[in-house]
Amino acid sequence: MPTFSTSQEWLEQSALLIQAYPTSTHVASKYSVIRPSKSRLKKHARRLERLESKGNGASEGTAAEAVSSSNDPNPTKPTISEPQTTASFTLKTYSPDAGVSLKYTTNKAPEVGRLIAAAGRLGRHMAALPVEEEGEATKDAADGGDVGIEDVGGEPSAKRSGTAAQAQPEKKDTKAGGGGTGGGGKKKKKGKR
Amino acid sequence: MPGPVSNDQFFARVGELLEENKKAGHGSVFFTQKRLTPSNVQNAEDKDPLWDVNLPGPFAVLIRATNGKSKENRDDKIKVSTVVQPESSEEFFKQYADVCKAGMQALKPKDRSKRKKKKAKKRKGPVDGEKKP
Repeated sequence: MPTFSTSQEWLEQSALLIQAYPTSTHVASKYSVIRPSKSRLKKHARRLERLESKGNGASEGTAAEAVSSSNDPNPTKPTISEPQTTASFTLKTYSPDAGVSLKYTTNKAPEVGRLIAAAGRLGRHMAALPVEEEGEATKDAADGGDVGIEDVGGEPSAKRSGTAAQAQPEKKDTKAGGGGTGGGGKKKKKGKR
Repeated sequence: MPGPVSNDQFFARVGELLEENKKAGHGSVFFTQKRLTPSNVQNAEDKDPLWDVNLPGPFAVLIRATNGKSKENRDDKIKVSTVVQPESSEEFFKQYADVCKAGMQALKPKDRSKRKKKKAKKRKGPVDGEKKP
């Protein structure tokens, strides 16, 4: 079950999977919010205490905040009125026929719009509609940032490319022809039209 | 199980789902999408594992959303589904993105702190230079 580090990669591989198994593959997404853990709450309480004690010592609140944030190893701005919840948005493409599931997880809000657009693109594959070439795709790779990344195991990815390779030659015979390995996403889309 | 609702109703219900999630402060909302194959299309899987690759389209897409409550919480389960016709898919996903963006507020907002720091550094830089001579 590979988890991709960029949404672009996830989209490309998912598109291949959907093209190979268009009726059985589904795209599932999960938006999940988790309450802050106990240790987090404790940390938060301690930090508040520290801030308060410093606030009493120095007359100016802003100065105290500045000091505390500079002391902090990882300065999150002094908006610590509430402990932060952890939220994530996970996309999963699963094909029961192929036994493959492709995942992508993010915790960033600006990515949501893009990811839903990606899901829409996959929706077009599912609907067997022509898919236009991706233009704005490359900028995704730039802001991979602190996305929840898990290492992609060698075995599943091999399995994946295996299924892709399996799926491709048969389709290509009927259409354009050409070398069939995992990376031929664009070629395939052209053939689909 | 109630059948699929219209797209607009679906958005309203999804908005409610996300709003409830926000109120509770925790929990998940699940979405799925898959092709809606008409029942008259024969499943010829026995003969050819890739029987569905070249089916004459276009197909509608079924979209489902749920709050995933099950077992002892089953009474609280909300599920809603809609069928997206191929001609309206583009419009649908635009609206869908807007609804999701509006509802998923707990995710990390765009990080502007780094950019600010860089700017501050740039501002500081020339000032120091001026002081020295």
